[in-house]
Amino acid sequence: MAVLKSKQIRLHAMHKVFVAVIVTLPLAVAHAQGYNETEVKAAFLYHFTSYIEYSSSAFASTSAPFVIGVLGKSGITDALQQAVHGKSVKGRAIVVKQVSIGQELRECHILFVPDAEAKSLPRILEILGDSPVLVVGESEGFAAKGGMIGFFVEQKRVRFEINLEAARRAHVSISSKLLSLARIVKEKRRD
Amino acid sequence: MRSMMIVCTCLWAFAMGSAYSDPSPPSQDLTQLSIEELMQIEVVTASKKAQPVWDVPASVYVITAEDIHRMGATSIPEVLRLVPGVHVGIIDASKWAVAVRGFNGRYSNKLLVLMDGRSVYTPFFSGVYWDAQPPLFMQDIERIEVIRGPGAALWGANAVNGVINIITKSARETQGTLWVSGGGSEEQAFGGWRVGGKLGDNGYYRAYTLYQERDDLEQDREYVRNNDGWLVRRSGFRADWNRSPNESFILHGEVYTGRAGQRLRIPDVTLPGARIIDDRYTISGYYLMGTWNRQRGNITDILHVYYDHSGRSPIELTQFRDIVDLNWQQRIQANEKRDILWGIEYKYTSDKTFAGPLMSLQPPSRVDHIFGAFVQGDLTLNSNTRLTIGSKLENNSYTAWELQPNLRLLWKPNEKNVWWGAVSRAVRMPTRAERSIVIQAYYEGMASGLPVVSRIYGSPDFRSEEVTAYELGYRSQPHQNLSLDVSAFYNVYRNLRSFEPADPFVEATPVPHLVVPVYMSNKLHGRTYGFEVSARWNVTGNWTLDLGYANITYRLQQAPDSKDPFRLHSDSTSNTPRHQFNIGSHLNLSRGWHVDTYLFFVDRLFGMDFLPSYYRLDVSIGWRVTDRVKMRLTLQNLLKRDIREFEHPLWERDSIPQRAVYGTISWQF
Repeated sequence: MAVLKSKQIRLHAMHKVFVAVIVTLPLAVAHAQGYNETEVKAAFLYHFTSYIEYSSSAFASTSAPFVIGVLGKSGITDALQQAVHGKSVKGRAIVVKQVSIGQELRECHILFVPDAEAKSLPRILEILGDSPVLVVGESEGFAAKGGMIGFFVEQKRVRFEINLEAARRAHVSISSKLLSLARIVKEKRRD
Repeated sequence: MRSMMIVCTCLWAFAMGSAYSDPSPPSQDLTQLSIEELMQIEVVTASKKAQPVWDVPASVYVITAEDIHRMGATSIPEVLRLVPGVHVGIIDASKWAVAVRGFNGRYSNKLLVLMDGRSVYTPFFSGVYWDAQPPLFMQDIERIEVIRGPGAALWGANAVNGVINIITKSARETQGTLWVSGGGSEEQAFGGWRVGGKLGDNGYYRAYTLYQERDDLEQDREYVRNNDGWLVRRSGFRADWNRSPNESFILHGEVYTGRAGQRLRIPDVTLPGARIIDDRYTISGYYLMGTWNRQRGNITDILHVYYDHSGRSPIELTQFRDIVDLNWQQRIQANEKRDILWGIEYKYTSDKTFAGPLMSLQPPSRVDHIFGAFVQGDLTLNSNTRLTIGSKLENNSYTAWELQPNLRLLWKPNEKNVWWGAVSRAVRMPTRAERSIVIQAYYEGMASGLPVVSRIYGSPDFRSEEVTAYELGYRSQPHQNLSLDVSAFYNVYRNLRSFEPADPFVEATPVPHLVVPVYMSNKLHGRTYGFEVSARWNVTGNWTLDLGYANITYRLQQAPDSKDPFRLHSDSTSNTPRHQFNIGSHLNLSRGWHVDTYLFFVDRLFGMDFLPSYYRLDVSIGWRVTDRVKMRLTLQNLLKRDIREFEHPLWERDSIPQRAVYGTISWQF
């Protein structure tokens, strides 16, 4: 009987160790897997290129590339590069580059502002003025704060909202197809 | 147990091993998809910030399809354990006690449960027969919204302490064929087929059939089988048709049949004493439901009609019920600042019962009509304040008119913080049982040489139970990886159900015995208060922690003329834990592996018996073998060999869930 009991105790102790392992191991093994959300956003950005009309002055020449800029360091740059690899839009090659705050922002056709850079939005808008650049972001309320397209996630799916006023200011026209899929938001400036 | 540990350890080791090898996931070229298809792709979300409930002035918790999938749950009550403020206890293999913010019991009656707008609680006792509810395909659930607190203004009577709203995916989202199969120690076998396809250019359908069987639980820790096994078969369909982008039709239908068992300890005056009997009974039913939805400019109309038939034949009482429900709603978005929702409803219920040796209803058959109308306005006061005001007016056959108003205010000082407050009134109408039932309750012993039994009577004077609820809530996202939701409540109840004994009398048959009659009455009043906290923390891109805590305090009093001896023991007053918390760890590893660990703490219960507090640890290990094939191993109750979670309400013998394991495989093609 005593033997049985000690065996039970040992089993019990083993069991506790097992449980402790199950609970704490995740701490040790949390390392990165591909960002699904980022890839989806990159694919959306690629699609946006064909749903936007720019005035001819937006391009230096008829063969000038379509430039997608990503502000600051972000995982989406790689995902974008992969997404647009070997693709073109209306005969123009698509180029992805990392940009920083400054005049080079005006050289982009689409400027993506990652969540981490969202606080620079007022500065970005100031630099861009009415340059024909489609400003896309992913932080909450991005479009309402003066960005043109803002991604958001609803029920695990990536959706986007569009601020028409901001697009109009930059003389960027967004196709009705894109508008029909988007949530339209009004500008909400906070002073 | 030992073999289970070995299996588990092996799987774990495998998961760990693969975590350190090739970290790049298989990637698909997403640019090949159309923009519409991209919008349908589910992504791994970093935070709850864009959740639709962020701006809702009520205490709402959403269980997503992902949460259900990762838990590996095979029934809805199991999933509801995730929600702080919801108490779930297994009574036996086919019975659960589920309640929100207190008053739990098998016959807990202050909760409204809806499936795609079809109410699944029975007017018999205002509660839910969980054995007749899903398992539908758990994969078909889009989300479960749990609203803690009164939802009566919109949903109507019975939404006293909460609403559970189960929403299934549209047929469009369940195309192709799905095959699921699994089994294990308590969940002995389950499986099913689902096929989905197109109907013309704008229509989609799915049809499914499935089977689930659960083993007997054990009795009284003696490892005797408790004859409470359960099996159910279920077949159904859903069709969605978009006539135009602004007009859609949905048709749902389902038929189910099942068998469940119970071991009862019933009073018998001829012994005298209590006699044990084994009962096997049938549950069955079907429903058909149609929804029409049309948007014209800023006006949306929704017409919702269903017919529901259900029946069950346990030894205590056989009952059949037919429900027809018509519901029309209109939403008028007058302008950006005013959003008005109003609607009317009619519900027809007809039942037929056949008395058993333990229960009878007088009259045995009855028809009830409920008419209701509601209006609710959402008014934007300024850029960050919104007022919601509304009421439901309902007429029922028992208590005539009931008014259930509510007032809610939402204040959003900035994008990362939301405050809300609410005051609402809700009622729970008398149930069919409370007005007309007779229950042979317990054998109480001998007195003056005669056996004594207690007998519970429904009362024609039984009134509605009422609550006035004061609520306050706060949601915040202090950091992009952390979201927090806190809600507090103070509920004032009037006319809660009490059990009032009257003078004993002698009955001559079958042998002379003494009967102590106990009448259902409304002599309990009082307050409950407490709060719930839930937090989600994205520790890293592939590891998320969910934390939940709930607390409730009871302050109930009997009316001065009440003689209720059960006050502290009746199912409605004390079978709710004072503290509950849960921690969920969700870890994504590479190569499609993920590990989900759940730790639940449930405080002690003071019912007829004292049930000690317990910790429950569940682990679910999933592997996405390919995009089409998924496997999962679910381990329940790892800390203890068995946990008695809840006591039986009346005659049933106790069932004790054991440590359990089951595996699931699903194939989508």
